[in-house]
Amino acid sequence: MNGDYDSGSPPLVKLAAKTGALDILTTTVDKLFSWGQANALWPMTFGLACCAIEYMASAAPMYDTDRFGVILRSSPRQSDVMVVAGTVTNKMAPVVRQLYEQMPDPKWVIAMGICTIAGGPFRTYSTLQGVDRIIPVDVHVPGCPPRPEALIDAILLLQRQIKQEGVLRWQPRPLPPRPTGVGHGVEPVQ
Amino acid sequence: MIETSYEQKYTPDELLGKVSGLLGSSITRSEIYRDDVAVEVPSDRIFSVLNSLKSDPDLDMAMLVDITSVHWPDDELEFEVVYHLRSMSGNLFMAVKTRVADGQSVASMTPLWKSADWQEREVYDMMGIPFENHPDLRRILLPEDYQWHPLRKGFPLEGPDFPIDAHQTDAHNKVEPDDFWGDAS
Repeated sequence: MNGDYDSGSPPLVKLAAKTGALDILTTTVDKLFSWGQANALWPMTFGLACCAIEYMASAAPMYDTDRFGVILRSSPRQSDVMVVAGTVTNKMAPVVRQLYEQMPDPKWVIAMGICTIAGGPFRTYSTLQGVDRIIPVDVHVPGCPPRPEALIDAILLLQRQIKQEGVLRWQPRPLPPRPTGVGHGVEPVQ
Repeated sequence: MIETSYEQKYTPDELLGKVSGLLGSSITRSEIYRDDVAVEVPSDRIFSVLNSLKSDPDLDMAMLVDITSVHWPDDELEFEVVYHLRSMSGNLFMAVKTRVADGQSVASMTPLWKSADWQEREVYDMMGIPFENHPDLRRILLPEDYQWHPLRKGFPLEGPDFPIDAHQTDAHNKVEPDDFWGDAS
């Protein structure tokens, strides 16, 4: 791979550029894997409310997230990204948590829409007040619902985060307590 | 070619007269509101009333469309169960209502209509009205271990167990009034 290399390049690269004989590229294994991981994010196919419509629109040909390597999978065991799209109810919370735990490491979470982020307009007995309470979230996408451009922006942001963090140095996020599925799971307020 | 008639078999007045003749003294109250016929019967007769409405060949109320409930907290019999009936042969619609007190049960309609199963479970779940002889009276929408019945009038929208850190709190961690929708007063 010949080209212009500045003086900061490693000696072997400079040598390769000088001779033109060796087509080599030096990098770390972590960077290579991170590059591959960031460009092959496979989200799990599941939607909980109206945000899922925008999520589907993002994957459809008009916005076509396939071009970023985002290919929807139908099983948590084949996925590395969970896009929580829609209102999470207290009854659904243990299911979402179990789906997250079924995903293999390394894994990331995008919280899509204000309902997922903080309960949105539903300050009610049945709605989880933010998915952060049950699973660790990497990227929040505000909106009601967010447009596909916003979700694409979140995917690009997550790609940048993966490249910065390094996929081999990925650490499991601290998990919030497991939801009980019974109300908000806290002591009643008086 | 199939001839389809959308005409109703009876006018609302004729339907109420027919129902009154069939049920007689069981009816404690009846009304026609915007051509919708509704009758109220005591809760101990609700099963026989609905059974006779279903089995009567002229009325033929063969379909149970829905079971709903209303909470009137100021009344002595504070819970009202409403049965919406449909006659497919006569293109007729009517409602049958009954009143119960808190904790008092209503006869289950599952022997008459299988579809009453989940509808009664929903009424039990949201309003807390128990149904006698129901085959499987569990909660259906809310978690099975949930302690409250949220559609009762006294129930706070956020629930008694709303997480305190999701409220607007002051320096003493005291819950402030709900300012999410602005000050309405």
